[in-house]
Amino acid sequence: MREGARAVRLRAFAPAHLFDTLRQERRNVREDVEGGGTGIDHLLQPSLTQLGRQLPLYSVRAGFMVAFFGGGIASVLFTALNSQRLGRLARDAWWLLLGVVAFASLGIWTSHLARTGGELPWLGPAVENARELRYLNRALALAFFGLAYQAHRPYYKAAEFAGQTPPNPWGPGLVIAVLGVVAALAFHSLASFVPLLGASR
Amino acid sequence: MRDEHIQLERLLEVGRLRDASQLLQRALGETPDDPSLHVYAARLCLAQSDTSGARDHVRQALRIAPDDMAARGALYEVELRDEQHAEAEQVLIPMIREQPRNAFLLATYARLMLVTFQLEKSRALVDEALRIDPEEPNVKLVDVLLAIVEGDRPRAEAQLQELIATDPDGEAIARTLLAWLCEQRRYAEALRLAQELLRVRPNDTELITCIIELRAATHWLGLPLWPQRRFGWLASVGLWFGFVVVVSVARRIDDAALALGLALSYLAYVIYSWTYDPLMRRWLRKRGL
Repeated sequence: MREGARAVRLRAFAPAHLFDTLRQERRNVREDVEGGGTGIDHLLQPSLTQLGRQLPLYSVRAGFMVAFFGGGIASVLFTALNSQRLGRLARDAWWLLLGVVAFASLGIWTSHLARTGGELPWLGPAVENARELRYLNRALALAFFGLAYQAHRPYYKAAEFAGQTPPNPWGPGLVIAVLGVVAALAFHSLASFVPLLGASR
Repeated sequence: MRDEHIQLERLLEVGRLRDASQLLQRALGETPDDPSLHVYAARLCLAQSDTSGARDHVRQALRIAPDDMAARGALYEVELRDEQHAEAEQVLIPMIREQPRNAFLLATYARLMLVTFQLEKSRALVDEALRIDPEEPNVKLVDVLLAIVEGDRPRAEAQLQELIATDPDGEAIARTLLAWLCEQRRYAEALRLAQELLRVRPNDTELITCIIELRAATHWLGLPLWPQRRFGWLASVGLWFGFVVVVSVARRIDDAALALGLALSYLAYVIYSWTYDPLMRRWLRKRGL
């Protein structure tokens, strides 16, 4: 399981150099005759000063691996890391939290069914289908990764054009994958304290 | 424009850096206070990846002529090369305020916003630049890149076709077409185009890296990786899912040998997919283009 050929990293096109094309006598600049505003003042406010140095994104492959090995919670945490690097954690917070709640609920529910001998829809007894449950969790984690990729896809593309090298993901990836496993164990423990309506014994 | 300037322009364009350096040394010896010469010197330094030297020459040019647009443009390029994006923005904004209807400047700012992930602002700047001068090629180039980033393939394709129609031999257009072909995963065509570009710019290290990666992507030894190259991560997920289904079936029919065989084959394929690209690229680099 490896991503498709790594998108060829290209430095953005090299236009005629700015300093070459700005010679007044060679450019046909259409000045605003009236000398009034052009209506783009709001676009000419500096955007980058307050942002600080741009942090490169972790690679798509790293996100895929964390989702595959670490599960749903790990995938959410890793995506949050990239959101934070993009400076849009506040904007992405709502669907990241939704992901945490969804995976936590799923983890607690399936653990509770396994403890109480309950049955999963279409799969049967939870205890006998532990492997299928693991596959299901993994598939859902990868599905979340897919959604996260779609949300951040323009930024991955922009990073390619900027020639950004993704940082080494091993450190944070391993930590987050371990946190994902710890979270799964925590859900298993929590399941014994959470009474679920309609759970079969 | 002085003869020297025309000569320097030509030499830098074709990459004859040694000749340009000699001519510059002579010219600067005669007229050390010509800001244009310092700007050419900055360009030469940038071509030699010497941003520190470029910065010195730009400072000289701005000391002589603080309002010289070419010198300020050179300062912008130096900041960009050093990845000082906030500083580059601080250089560019006053220039745009002085020439608010300069579509090229707006496109340059849009490109800066693109590589710093300010995508909405980049789109607003490109739209404004297109409104001012819909035929300016550099505006269209940024529009193509932005459309690729936004996933608007029809727009990117339409703009690219117009650009190629107006200037089929333009280098910047060719590079953008290269980006487009890679985006479309048309690696064989991209490789041919990249090789043509390399003839024009034989010392472009990024182009060389690009060609090596494209060669690895199109080599016959990489054929088993076709699903991933064509469909990206979806193919990886699909292959894993297929493996799970097949192994589950093998388990249910109680064929341990089959299940083991499938598992080992999948593992071998995973290892191959992990190691093929880095090994192939290393081999291609050693072998040479």
